Amino acid sequence: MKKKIGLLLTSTSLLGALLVGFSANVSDVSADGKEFQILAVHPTDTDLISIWRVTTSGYIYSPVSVTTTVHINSTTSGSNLVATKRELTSMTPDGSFSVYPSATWGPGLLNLRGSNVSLPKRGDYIWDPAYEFSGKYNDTSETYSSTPSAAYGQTVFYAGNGGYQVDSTASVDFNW
Amino acid sequence: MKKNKKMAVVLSLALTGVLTVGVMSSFANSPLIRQAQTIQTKIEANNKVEKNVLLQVGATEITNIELENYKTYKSIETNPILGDAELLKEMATEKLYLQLSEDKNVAATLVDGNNEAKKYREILKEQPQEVQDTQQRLIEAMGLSEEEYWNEYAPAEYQKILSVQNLTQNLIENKELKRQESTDISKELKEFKEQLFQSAVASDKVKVIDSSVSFK
Repeated sequence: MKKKIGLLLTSTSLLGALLVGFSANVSDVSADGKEFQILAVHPTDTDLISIWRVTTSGYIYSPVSVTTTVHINSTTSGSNLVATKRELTSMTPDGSFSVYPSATWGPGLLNLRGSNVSLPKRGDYIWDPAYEFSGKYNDTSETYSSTPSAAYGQTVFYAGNGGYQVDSTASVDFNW
Repeated sequence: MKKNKKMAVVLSLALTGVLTVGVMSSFANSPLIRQAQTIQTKIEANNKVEKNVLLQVGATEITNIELENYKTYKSIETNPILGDAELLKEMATEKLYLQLSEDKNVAATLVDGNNEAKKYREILKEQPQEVQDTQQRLIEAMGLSEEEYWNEYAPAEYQKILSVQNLTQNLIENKELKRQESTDISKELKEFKEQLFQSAVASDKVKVIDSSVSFK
């Protein structure tokens, strides 16, 4: 279930971004003198997860905004791509935890070429003054064909005590 | 004739499809419809009980009716906490946190709450039907009309939410809440609130009025 944030939330620079397929290509030279290209893509998307805060007098619609970003660094190898880093990061405003103090959240699944990617390492991130970041990554090399297909990264957010929700995931969908 | 027959089959299949989706969708929401009715009935019964003050929190009180209503509303949660002492502590801490937002001059105004209500009402209109249906069921559970919800109930609740968020931001900026890498602010926040509650109990800012209440 997709929940794009409405125009009222899109005005801030960190919200409402949809930069699917943004990439930076850099040329480099390998140890054996061959030139190769480093390809970096980082699709990102911001969604609302619909949650109601339970109060002593009822329920108040208080959705949580989450931004999911996938970072993939790869190099070309003949007709293949060799991914050298695959990372999934999630971001939510600090205010989410004021509203839902028992929340559990963070990066969920990263799916490339129809398979879930193992993300064994937890990253440390520079703090933005008003946001929490969480991410995990895989920095081993994995070879893929150069033919792109549908992929996605997910953030999960469970409000826990004091919240009622009909959905708990937000995704960035992209082609890679 | 043959063309008409084909058209009739296509139309009947399409109609069956539409009806199936409609029925599935109403079934998907039916547990919530039943829950909403149960909650509304229980709240009406709660409000008829004689009122007793259980706790004094600064200048405000927490009554048995508020506690029972909170429990009733929480019954919709996946794993609700329903123990009296734990809920009373949670309710008292919430009040203390709001009082602290006023003491630190970061509390939101009702105008802020009203603006927030308008904003979220618009955002809700853009959400999937399931979300909008859930909102309707929850408003019904509270025994309110949609206009009462958005114009009377929601502004005060958003005012509280904004006050709480403002205070958290203030505590972070003033380093009373220390952010650490790899841990959410929620852990620090939980510890801060625990201290806030314990010191309020120690200083009699939180006073037990009804002897049936115990935090030990």
